[in-house]
Amino acid sequence: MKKSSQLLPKVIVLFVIAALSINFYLVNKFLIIIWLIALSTGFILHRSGICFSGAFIDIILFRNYTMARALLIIIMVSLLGISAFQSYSLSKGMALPGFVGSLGVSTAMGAFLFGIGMVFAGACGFGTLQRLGEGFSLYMWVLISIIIGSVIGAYHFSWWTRTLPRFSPVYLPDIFGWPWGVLVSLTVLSSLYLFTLFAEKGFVSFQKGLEKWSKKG
Amino acid sequence: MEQKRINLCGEVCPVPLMIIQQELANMATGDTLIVDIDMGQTVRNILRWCEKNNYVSEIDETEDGAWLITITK
Repeated sequence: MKKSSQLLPKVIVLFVIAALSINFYLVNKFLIIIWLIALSTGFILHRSGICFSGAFIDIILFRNYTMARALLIIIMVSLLGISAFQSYSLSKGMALPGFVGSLGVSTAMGAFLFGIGMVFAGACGFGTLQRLGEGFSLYMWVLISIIIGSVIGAYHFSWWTRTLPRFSPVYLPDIFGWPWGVLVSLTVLSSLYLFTLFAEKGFVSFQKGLEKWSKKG
Repeated sequence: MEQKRINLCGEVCPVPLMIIQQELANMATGDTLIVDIDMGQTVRNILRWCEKNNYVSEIDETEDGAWLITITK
């Protein structure tokens, strides 16, 4: 059971990171910020083992809500960040950063197709990248399929949004005003968080009750 | 006190945990299931599931990115 320390790959990776950092810094100082955010995101994703498809798999198959709660926290934190960014941009008279999308038939169909792919691959977009980075060679094929699918999707995208019926976009800060729109979203998300706690407890006590009942019988 | 070894290398989520659940369901208390596995995320899920169900589990990283899990029912 000897473990290899992988010293040479570590040195090579650190060298490439350093070389790219210097290169990005020389080309454009802004690039190095993006590069550092990307590196730390990758590191955190790998260490935390977070997985979007895993959250749904765990809920449905194993009645485990841990990953779903982690995702809700991610969404809440990023909501606060993007809201601060958006309200700042709007208050300075700049264009709204990001997209305000709308739901439609295409959303449901896209979600369905993506779900099928996710089940076959056992991972979503960044799960694939993360596992490929870990050296899971099977995910090379998944990545190739994602690229093919995305190219076809990008080519067809306007047809889906143009032809199929969809709601008009809803932007909560437009309806409730600035801090309130964000608070409404946060309330909904934290209710979902609480719901997962209750659902987990409820299921466990239901299981225990069932066990007791079957022992009596 | 039977012992069974299964190889789940190359299987992706959620297949390994489902197979382990099935195998353990067919085993008697005190039997041991030894699992070869190479998927990090699933390893955490398996250990958490064992803890939740009061199965004794031991883990050993045999190589970089490959684990041997021993579960006693």
